[in-house]
Amino acid sequence: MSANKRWTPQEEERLLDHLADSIETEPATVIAAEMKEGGHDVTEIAGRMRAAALAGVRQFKQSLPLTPQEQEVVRTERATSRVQTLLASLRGVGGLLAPNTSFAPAYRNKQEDTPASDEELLRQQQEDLDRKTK
Amino acid sequence: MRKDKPQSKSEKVATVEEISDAIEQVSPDGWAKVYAFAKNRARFMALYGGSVDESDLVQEAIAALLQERRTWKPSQVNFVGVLIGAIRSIASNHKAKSLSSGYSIPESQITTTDEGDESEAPTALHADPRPNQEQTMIRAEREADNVLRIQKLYSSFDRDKEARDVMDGWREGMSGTEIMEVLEIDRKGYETIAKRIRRNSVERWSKVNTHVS
Repeated sequence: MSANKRWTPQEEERLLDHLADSIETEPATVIAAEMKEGGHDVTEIAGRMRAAALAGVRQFKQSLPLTPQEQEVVRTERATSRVQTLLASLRGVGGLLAPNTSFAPAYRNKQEDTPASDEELLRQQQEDLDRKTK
Repeated sequence: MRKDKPQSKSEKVATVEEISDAIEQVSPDGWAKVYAFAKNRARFMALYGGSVDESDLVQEAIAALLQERRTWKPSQVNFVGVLIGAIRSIASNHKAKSLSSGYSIPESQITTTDEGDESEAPTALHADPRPNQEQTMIRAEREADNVLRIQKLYSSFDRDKEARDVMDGWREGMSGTEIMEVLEIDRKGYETIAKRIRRNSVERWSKVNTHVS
């Protein structure tokens, strides 16, 4: 029949279909034994397939509309989350509103704003204090 | 969660719980069979532009079983059989959708037969004249991969003329009965040869961590 000519996609499809039929009709134990003989880790493969199947269940569940009870749970979780976010932001603002107990910065800032007349007054007072100490 | 459709006494829609339980009860051998079948159908889908692996197919099959709310009689039908049926359906639907949406087999994959038989040409599929660069690369990789895989399987039967003859019959679209007539073998003989080919393909093609390869 056909020699070593190149396989076309249609020919590959026919081959795959026959092989699929053969896999489907064969007992699972036989297919598994063939895979083991080929050096394949059936336990690992089974684990992957099971995980994929369970992912399918999750995928389906996520596609379902929520029940009233589930909607209530979601609402509660959202409300809790919002309150926590609000409280966290208030804690941040709290730092700004707290009384400043350090006077040194205020004094330095004040110095910067001191007019020349006040500076002259302070200088005179300092000179008086210096004389008295002498 | 959802309301079940009206059921007769003899049919029952599988629930999420039943499907979940069934998944837990499938044996490693059962999963191996599902894997081999899904791997085969993923390759089939790749011929029509599909890019899924066996895990994707199993996940989709379970979701489809639940979404389409198929009836399932656990006492009569093995869950592995149900799953394989769902995977087969997904693959067939993919092919149908691909053809109806105008999917075309890459031009480089369309080869004329040595005999010049026009009927072998993909009449419903037309080469896409303007694939983009990425499509061209992906298609080229798939083409090389597909051809190599099939050629290696075929070559592995260099010393098994019977197997080559049966593969040639499949290749040419012959039915099992036609092949038996041409090769003058009985059904038992044909099935024995077919099993040899399948066994070889399963051993070769069941490698883990290969994406549609």
